[in-house]
Amino acid sequence: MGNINPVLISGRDYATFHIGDLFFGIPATDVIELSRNLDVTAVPKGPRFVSGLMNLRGQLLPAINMHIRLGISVENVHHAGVSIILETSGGPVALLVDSVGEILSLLPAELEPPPNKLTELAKEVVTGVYIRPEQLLLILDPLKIVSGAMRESPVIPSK
Amino acid sequence: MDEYLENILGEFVIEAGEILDRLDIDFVQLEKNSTDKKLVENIFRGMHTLKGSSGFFAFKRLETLAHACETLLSKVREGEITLNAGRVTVLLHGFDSLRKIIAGISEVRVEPDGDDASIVALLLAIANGETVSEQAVMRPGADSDEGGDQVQAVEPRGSLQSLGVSPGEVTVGDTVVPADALVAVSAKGSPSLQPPVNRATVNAEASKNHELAAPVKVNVELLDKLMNLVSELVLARNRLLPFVTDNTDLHFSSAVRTIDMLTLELQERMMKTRMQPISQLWSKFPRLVRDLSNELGKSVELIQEGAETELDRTLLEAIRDPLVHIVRNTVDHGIEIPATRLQANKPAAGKLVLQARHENGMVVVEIIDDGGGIDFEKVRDRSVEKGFWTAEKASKLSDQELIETLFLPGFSTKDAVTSLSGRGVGMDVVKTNITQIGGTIEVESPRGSIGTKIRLKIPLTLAIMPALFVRSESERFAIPQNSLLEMVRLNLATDPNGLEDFFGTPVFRLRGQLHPLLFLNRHLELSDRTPGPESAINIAVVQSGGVRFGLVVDEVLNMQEVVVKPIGPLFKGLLDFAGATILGNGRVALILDVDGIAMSSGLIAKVQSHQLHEAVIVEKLTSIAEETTMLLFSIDGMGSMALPLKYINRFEIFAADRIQHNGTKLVVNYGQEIMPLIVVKDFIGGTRRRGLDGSRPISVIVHYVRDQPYGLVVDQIFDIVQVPSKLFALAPPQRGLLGCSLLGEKVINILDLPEIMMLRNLQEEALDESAPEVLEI
Repeated sequence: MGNINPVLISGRDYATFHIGDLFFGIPATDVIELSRNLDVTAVPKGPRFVSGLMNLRGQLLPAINMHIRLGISVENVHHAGVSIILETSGGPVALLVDSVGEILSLLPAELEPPPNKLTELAKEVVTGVYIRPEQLLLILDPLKIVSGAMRESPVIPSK
Repeated sequence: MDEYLENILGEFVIEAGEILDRLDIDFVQLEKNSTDKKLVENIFRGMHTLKGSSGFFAFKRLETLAHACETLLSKVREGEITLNAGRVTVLLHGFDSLRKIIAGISEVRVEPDGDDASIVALLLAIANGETVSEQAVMRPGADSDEGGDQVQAVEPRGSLQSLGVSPGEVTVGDTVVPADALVAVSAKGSPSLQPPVNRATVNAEASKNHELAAPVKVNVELLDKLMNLVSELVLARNRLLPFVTDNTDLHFSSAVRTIDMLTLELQERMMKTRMQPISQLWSKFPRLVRDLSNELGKSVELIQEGAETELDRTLLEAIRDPLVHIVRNTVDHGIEIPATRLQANKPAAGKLVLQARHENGMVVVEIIDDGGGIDFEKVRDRSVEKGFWTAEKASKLSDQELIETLFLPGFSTKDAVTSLSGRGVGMDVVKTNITQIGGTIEVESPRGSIGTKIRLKIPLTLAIMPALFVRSESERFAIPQNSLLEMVRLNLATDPNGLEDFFGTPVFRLRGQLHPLLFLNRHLELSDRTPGPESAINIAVVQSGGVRFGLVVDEVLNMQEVVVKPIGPLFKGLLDFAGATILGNGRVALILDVDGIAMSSGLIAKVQSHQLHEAVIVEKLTSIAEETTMLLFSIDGMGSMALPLKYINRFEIFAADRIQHNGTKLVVNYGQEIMPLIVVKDFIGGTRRRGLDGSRPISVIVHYVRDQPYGLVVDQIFDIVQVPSKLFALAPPQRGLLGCSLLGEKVINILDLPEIMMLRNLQEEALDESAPEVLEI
């Protein structure tokens, strides 16, 4: 995972959020909006990552449970029901996160390769890290969040 | 007029209109840039096409005029003549005359009278390089009056431009005057015009109206967006309606009622924009039937009735292949060769009638032939040959049951595989395609060689449909009304039969017929709950293809129109849902796909691998030998399994690195063959695929189906044992298992291999065909 796609990190503004004790950022240009208190209808037998479907003004979007997606244990959940609506090439998706932080403006040159001690699942989607004085900011690739979730849908794992 | 001729004439008028519209633009460009070779070329080709088709209809005026224009243009094209403003003007006049003649044809279906001698002469003169007097060039219309049957009007002595702007003075020749000028004339009611001009005026007005009424091309995406918005509006209206009952304010409720009515109308109109006549499909058939019958030495007369019947364009697309298939089948199998027909006292030429009409909100398409009908004995023989059932059972099948056989996968009665049909893609695919869009297919073929009638019923549209809402556990689901037959409440305590067991599937009796039953909560893995023996259950009786089954739900809610929305690529491979809809309260509810459920639950496989007849159940319970030789093996987490030895050819163990991926499928290289691997545990119980842990060697049972090996992946193979044949039903029944038996103290589960094989094939088909490609991201 050492090769960092320069295109993906050239966006300087990051929308940040918390999942468990970890702090994440995604390029702000991919974020359509934040929304609260949207009902999620479970889709039985759907991929485990996907909590279900949401209705955003008449449009159906899959809601991705970021705890499961990143393999972060659910012990320290303070779920406030916030979702980040992202635009992806497969249509908009909602990321269910614990809480949303501020938008940070960061220099691409300061991005470091992702740390080693991440979970396997997290390694797939973390493209790099900013070392911030208070906490590490892990940068996610929004496309991989969804493509990974797709791969998890009922298909034989490729070894 | 002959309807056929009428049709092609109509097409001609439309085509000519399109060419003229295009030329209009090109001419304008040409005036600005008279040396543009490409423009000249375009105009030349347009004229050439026009000339060709007018020759076909023997429209002499049109042909002569177009020919003259073409002659001049070809000279220009070859560079012998250069265009100047005057010459372009002459061309334009020729062109305007063409337009008027075509407007006349479009109205009265014959070429209007008129004389174009002067303009033709002028065009040819320029083409021959003669110098034409400036005056003649500038007002070619002046000459046309002399020989024409036209009105005498004051000839303008000015420039040509005055033609359009001083209508009162215009020469109203069929040949010269632009349509808009004529309209202006009639509008002003100029007293100088004499009666004959009325015809021309009317024509011109007709052409004007024609222009206004001409269809507008709209981007399909825009239409889809609009359709979506209307769907939203319908939902918003649904949310509004309940307030009327709660609210006594008259003004409010009358406003809501108005919105209700407007929405309904808008929805209907919007639906209409997506509608297209079925003739769009049928137009290909005359040629198809002609080619086929020639190839087969048959003579077939094709009759189309109700070609103007409209249906949603996506549905039109969906029935294209099935219809082509049925028509081919009919010509190939149905209609006899002339000699046979004459013997049977029928005319040598067979009749193939395509009929379409609206009926009860559905479109009914019938394909009727007067051929030999279905050869039931042949179907009977073939079904035994293909191993669908034993000869004894086949001999008892009714005609209707034999017709059902035609729709089983892999059935074909044609002796030789021809280029036309008999390639194994048969009526089963037709049926699948039709049921996928919520339609049905029926076949009638009375004995006595009087032909066959195939009736397709297709919904008008897919986007909005009525559905019944039900509750299972805490979730609401919608069942599309077109797959719902009836609701039944079964009281297990008082019903004499209650639930019975059929190869591991519960069944219930409805008016003497056995129906398999599926517990929705269990199927969707919402809970494991099964009703106690004393409870009453709600059953939605649904139909998927030929299979009827009951879906047990906790509560029946309301009937409502729903707007179907796709659930997106993340749920690809999930067959159980047809889509989702948004409820009045803004929540999302899933719409069940009855076909998908029948498939993923294994019900279709179950019913197709063991015909659902009372006799089978009785047979299973009584007449099995004492003991059966079986292979004992284990599957992780599912205890001991056994499979009758008759299914097994050999066992193998493959190292992990021998397993190869063929797309998403697992295969191993086995001797000269590629052997697909079937991970048995994926087909037992729940439907979630678990796949393989790719590092350990795997134990494989090799099972041959018609020379093709299949590898059944299990965990550990133990022994060959004699298992008592007395089977105990599983409670609750499980997919992929026949039942269980006792070996000493140990309970062993007997695998239902026919069902697993059927299940696998159905899944492969479903995944290959229905799932849309996921975007690579």
